[in-house]
Amino acid sequence: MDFEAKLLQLIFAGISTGAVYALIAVGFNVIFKSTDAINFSQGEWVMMGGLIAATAIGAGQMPLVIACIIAVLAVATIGGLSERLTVFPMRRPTPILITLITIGLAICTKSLVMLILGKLPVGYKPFTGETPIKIAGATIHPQSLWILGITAVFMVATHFFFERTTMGKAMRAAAADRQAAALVGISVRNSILISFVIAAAAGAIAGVIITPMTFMVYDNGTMLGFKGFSAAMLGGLGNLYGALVGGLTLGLLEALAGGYVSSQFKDAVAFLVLLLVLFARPAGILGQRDITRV
Amino acid sequence: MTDAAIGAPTVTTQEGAHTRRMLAILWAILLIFPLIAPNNYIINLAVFFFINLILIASLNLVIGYCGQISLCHGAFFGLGAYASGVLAAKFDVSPWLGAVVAMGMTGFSALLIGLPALRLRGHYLAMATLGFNAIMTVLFNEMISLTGGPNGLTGVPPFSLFGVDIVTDTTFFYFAWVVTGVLMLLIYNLIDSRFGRGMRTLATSEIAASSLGIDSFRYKLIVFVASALMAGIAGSMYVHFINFASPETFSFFTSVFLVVMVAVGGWGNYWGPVFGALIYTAVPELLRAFKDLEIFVFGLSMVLVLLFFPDGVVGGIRLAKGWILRAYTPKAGDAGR
Amino acid sequence: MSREALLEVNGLSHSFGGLTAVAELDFTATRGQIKGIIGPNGAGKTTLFNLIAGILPAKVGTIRFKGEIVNRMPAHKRVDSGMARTFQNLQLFAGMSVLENVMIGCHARTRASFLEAVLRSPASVRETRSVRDRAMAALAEFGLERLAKRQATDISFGEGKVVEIARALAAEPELVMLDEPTAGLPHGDIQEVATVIRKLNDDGITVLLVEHNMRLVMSLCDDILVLNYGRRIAEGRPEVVRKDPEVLSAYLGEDA
Repeated sequence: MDFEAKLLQLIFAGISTGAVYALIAVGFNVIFKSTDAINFSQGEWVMMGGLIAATAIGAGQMPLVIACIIAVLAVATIGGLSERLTVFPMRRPTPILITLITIGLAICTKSLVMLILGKLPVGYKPFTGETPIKIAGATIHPQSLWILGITAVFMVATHFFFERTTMGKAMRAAAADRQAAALVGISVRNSILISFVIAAAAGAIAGVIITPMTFMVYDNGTMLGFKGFSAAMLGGLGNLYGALVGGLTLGLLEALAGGYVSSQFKDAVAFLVLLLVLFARPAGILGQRDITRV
Repeated sequence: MTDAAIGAPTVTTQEGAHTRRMLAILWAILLIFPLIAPNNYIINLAVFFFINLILIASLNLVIGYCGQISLCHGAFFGLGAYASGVLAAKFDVSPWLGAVVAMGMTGFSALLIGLPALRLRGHYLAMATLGFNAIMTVLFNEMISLTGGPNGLTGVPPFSLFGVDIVTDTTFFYFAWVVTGVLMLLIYNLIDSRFGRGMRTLATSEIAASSLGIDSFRYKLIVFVASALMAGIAGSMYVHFINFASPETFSFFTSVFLVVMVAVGGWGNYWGPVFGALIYTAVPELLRAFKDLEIFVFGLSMVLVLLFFPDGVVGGIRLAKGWILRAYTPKAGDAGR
Repeated sequence: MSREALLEVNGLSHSFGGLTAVAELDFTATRGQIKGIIGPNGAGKTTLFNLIAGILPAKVGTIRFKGEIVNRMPAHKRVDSGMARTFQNLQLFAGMSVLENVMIGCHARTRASFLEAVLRSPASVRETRSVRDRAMAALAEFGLERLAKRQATDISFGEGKVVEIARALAAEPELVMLDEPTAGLPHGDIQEVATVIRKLNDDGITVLLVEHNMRLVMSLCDDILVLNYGRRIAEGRPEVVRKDPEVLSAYLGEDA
């Protein structure tokens, strides 16, 4: 393969994994906005989305579209339930405590999925066949186009939700200033619940669209969450567009490092670059330095 | 004030002496542990308790006292283990010398990563340290000629002293007893000092700290390096005890768990890590009976502890003490308010 | 009273994003003065303190302390060279006793290093002991020795305000910046704080006082700087400032 074709191939691959990372990063950002906490169960939701869809298709004999929708709805419900059971009852919901609780939540989620859905890797057929599409000597897997399309739609929908709907605006207000929002009658608690539901849905969608390409197993969640978190940090934590920029950057970094440096050390290279970005721009690519007040 | 005894992080002369006395008593009791332990398996667990205690107590300095979330303690632990283990297994270096070199390497890498990372705040520091841990995990996995890769590093010789190998659980117990005891004392000395007070201000507010003449960055860096050195020591002990090392032992998951155990024990509290290490060592063993449910029960209990005792076990004990005191001394307790 | 300038601020400006907090400010505090800084909310008083103390970087203008430009000096070094402050919202260190909080004040005047600490060298133990005695004496001076062993988070707001002053003084400063020392205090305690301020000034410490209680400011201060929207609108002796039309309109405008 000549240089251009290989580069193009790597870029395609990078963008499609990057889009998945971006979806996961949106989950981190939405919850970070409403709680200031890092949600360690985000990756488990991704894994759960893929596994539930696969089970619905395999054991449940359901059509692919129905199975995927069920998986996303189920995970979104579990996300909301998780919030009601753990964050909601807290007397002092500090960010660090919520973060730690989500670690426990992640452990519980992972082991429950293992107990109920089993330890075997599962997968299902890509949405529209496997015939690769050729472009300028490189090939694209049709599923990649689905990934890009669904990510784009989700991003636009999320943008619309936070910019245009009353509920989205209320959530932004609550994120900007909790006390002021509470004073004008916005329920901060409810906005945390909704953020968990949205984050879980984002994770589940990521899981549903990536599973046909990679398979999914109960312990994939940690790594996926880790990548999504990195993408969120890279773009600027709490920034919706940062998630997209961060996700795509991380995906491309990994693909290019894998293609040109070494496939064994690709994660190391990707994280090294991530560290350098972090040191050069401590608040992420799109992030702004926050002003500390005394 | 009577309620300063257990747990209260206050340090004054009498309480300083009191805590040192408590430490001495605890260690004296531990001395006879191998004699009363029913079998070697329990003594073996006790060795892991010591190693975990070093890890959690050293991490507590960074997290509990400096208020900096570091998610790469597992990497320092691993670096200590691999540096020490590889030198001994592949290059025939004496384990003692290897351990010293390993300390140097962990300290130096902590300095390198700390210099840029400790300028970051909150989540960004967490991310940077997590990234460092991820890089180290890749290196442990992929530098196969040195580390043995995912299959692990084998053939690590034990420590030996005056020609006698420290191999049995009991001999290693006494070795770990000495090392951990000394480190715990040094940690207390640190907390109860000018440097320690400076360090302890950082968890509340770095701005206020710097307004009182404390060079917060320098303090964080020194504590970070010291804490990594201790994790390195724990790593050397680990690798020469089980004569083996495998990358997953030092993954970022370990780092996350260590942070959780600092919280579960009670952060910023000298005795917190003792409880954290006890839980971290014993609970997984006790849960073995649950087989596949083990991890679930572990996660669930973690959620419950943090939900009901946000200040960890030590916080819970203090709470219980408060209830008991109030139950037995009606009204008197309110006078001070 | 000597006329030597201890703190000189020239052309100092600072803005947050597009919001100007301090604009082209000039003023001088001479040694031994109690200098009041007043102005409506959002006038830039706390920002000014943060700039002088080195919490915010002073990029436009100069700050001279004891004749030396300190713009680029880190906050902790400014404490070494003789500045100390209190905070508008309490900044007592949690997880430490009141006594330890005051001991922290002595930090800049003590030397024991990390290694000496870990190894518990006799010098460091001796130093800790003397610092404890000094902190205890400082608390006693404010009649607060009963609080010594209490957790810093367990005392009242008013007590905390005074503990912060004691902590600032433990740094043996030449200039102390008090940020609303009487805010939220009951009336009786305000008199106590006034006495404390006068006493420390008698000991030769220069005071910058941000305060909303006008009666206190007028009775204590030798000289008053009035800020509005980060600008100096008046400066001078209390009786002069009190009658200044611009000052009156700034305050009345706010009340109306």
